[in-house]
Amino acid sequence: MAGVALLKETRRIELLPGVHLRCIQTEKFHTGYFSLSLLRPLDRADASKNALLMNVLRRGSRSLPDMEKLQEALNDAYGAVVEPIIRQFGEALGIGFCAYFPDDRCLPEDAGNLERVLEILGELLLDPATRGGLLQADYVNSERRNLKDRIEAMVNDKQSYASFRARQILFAGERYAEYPLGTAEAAEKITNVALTRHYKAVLASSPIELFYCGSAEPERVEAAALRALRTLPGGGERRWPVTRAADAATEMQRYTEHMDVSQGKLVMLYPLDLEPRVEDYPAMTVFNAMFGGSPASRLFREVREARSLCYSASSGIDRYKGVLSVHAGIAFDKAEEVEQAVGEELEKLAAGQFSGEELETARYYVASAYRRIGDSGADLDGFLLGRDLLGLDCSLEQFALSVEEVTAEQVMRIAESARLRLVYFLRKEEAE
Amino acid sequence: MNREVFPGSGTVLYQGVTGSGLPVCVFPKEEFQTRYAFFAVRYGGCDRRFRLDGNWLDTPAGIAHFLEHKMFDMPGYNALEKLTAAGASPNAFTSQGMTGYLFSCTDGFYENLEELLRFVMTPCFSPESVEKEQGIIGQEIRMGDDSPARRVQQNLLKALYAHHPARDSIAGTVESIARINADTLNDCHRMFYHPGNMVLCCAGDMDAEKVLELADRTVTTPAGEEALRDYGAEESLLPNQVRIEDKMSVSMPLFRLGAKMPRTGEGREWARTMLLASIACELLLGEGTPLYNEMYQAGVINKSFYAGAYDFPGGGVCCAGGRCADPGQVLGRIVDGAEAFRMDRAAEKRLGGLKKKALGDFLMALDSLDDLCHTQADGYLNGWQYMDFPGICDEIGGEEVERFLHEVFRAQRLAISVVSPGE
Repeated sequence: MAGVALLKETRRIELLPGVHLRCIQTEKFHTGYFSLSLLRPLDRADASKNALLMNVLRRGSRSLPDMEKLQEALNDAYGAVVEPIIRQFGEALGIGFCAYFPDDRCLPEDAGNLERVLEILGELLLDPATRGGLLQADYVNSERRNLKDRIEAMVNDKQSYASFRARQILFAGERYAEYPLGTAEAAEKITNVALTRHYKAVLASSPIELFYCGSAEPERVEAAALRALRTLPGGGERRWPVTRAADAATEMQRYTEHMDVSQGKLVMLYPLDLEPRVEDYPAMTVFNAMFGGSPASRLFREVREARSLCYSASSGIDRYKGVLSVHAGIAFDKAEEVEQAVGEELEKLAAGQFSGEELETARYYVASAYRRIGDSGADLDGFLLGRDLLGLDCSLEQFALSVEEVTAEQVMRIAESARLRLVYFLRKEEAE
Repeated sequence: MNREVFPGSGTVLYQGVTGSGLPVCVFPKEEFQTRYAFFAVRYGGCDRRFRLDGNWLDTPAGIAHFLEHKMFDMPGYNALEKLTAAGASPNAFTSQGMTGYLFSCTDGFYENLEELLRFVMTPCFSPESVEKEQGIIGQEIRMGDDSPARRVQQNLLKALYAHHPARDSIAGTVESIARINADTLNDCHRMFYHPGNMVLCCAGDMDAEKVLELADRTVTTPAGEEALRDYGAEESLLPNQVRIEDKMSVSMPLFRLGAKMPRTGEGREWARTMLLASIACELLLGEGTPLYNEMYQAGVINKSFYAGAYDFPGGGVCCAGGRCADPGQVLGRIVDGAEAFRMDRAAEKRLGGLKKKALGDFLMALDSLDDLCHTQADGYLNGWQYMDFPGICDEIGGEEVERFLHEVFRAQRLAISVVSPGE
């Protein structure tokens, strides 16, 4: 495990009240990575404001007031990239900025690239371009138009559109049904006054998680981060968002939507009927790899390859919410057959009809995938923040080891708990 | 093997050639968990007409991609399943000029590598399996038909070229792949899948000599003759058709505009032209430019806007695109902007910044084992060395950038492809 051993994960320290920094010091990469995440609940009233806010802030700071000046500064930092990020973890969102940049160890000695990039990131967040104390109206207006366009463009990618629509239908009324970018209607109503108010509330009330991966000593990162955040307002309580587990007791629904497509998209959603326990998480990932989450899975081998029922078929599992989902790209007349075949494969797993070899392959597949997370700063960031939001307390290697110990009974327990509650089908209107 | 160090980064590259003539490149990266192998063939969607046994052979659109799908069939088993069962993540892709077979894994690298080399060199096609694949790829083609991004790009190539094979989609059409049979697949495999037309690139915690030795032992097919390929007669610089429009279920129009770049030279010289093109696009249309900012603030473009250059056998395209309400206006502004472009002091300063950025991008790309292997392989098969990149970048001067922009972004040379909402 040479790769993991080389990553010295330091403890997560509280830099300021409610603001934590985690550093991984390594000379493995040529890229330094840094992210700042403000944790928010996924909320109908705020989703569009959150998305709009990060894009407005990215337009410029007081010292780099437009994208031209900002890009010039980033090019000068050897092509550093600072971009808004919105990550979803169940019903929680991490909004903020991530930055990657050539690591100082590959640059001329006095480059100070880490400090420069964190300074730019800090200014974008805390010292934005304003007029009369408000976020600039021209920036807000133009980003509002862009946000609306991005929300509406969801329909361009039929598979993700179908996945989102299925979630929206099954979880209507819950936070989980919201699109992380919110709705076009909500976006349209946001003024620069309202957005400035939201901005101040977000800064004062969100827990902030900072992550760094690169060659710098943690002390150097702490100092640079403290300097970048020196004007962060102290505030009230910074409370962590939580996700409510899916309710498996709802009624079964079927929903067909028509669109001009040449291939149908089938989505099946299964809330898991089990009290989530920490030790179930590794089993969920192994079960998913066996069912539809890998090329060795049942959906790939049996439904796609052996029976040629569809072009694509895969499954995913949201551990935060406790939902299993199946996605398939199919011919319009194959929906019933695919649905039945998917159901049969799930039943087989629940009944323990799988070989030790199949289980072993899936355990190995998942454990390797986790170990490889250590090969990218951005992936490490996602894993560690996601892990904290799940309430897990283990290292990457510990998690990989627990995956390797998942038993057949644990896999069966997950498969048994899946309750089909929605079959959604996106298809072309039938010819009259 | 020959050992070289990438400038400014400490990344080491070992290069060697097997007894049968297969070039092998290895980037040892001891600290990575992932071990990656990429076995590439200089054969892609554009290589449809070639000379075999003294005769010119015309093959159907989509055949290189079809062959890629069928290569995983081995006598008695499927290599994709075997590699997956061994814990590797295998995959393959076909571009316009290349077919690539790859896997990543953590353990068992050499065993997996042996399997990769073996299945790619072993043709095993039956009429039944070809017929079954026609169904599977037919679905893949339909899925591609639903992608507006793909449609807008393919249509631009149709607008620009009158007969170059890049006009056709890499996967072909349901009709064209119906003409593929086991014999044509065997012909294409024999023609292109030999060590002289391939390269193996690996990266991760591994022993370079051991990789070379294994490749030497496993790949015993002799290097064949260099394939003579035909991409059609040289085309004029002007587009075949200035505007092409399609309708799909999209939220707002997608557009892609561009101009042909004639092949001027090969190898390093062509790599330099491509880099010049991408720097020129950044200098006129990148986020740090006045033109981008004017269009962005006016709402003419949004974050989906991009500009750049890409190439394929026998050609290349300089293009810009994105989603916007009025693609015609973007076209007009770009033409005016290019005409007015002067390499003044502000532009020189931006060029300096862009070169610094290009160097940073080069360094950062070394952290991605797959990018590293793909770029190295692409360079190798097309006659240039990835590690020459910073040197090539250094050579690019302001005057030639200005000349490039004035020539390429002229109204007469540009075509535009638009996909608008509707059915």
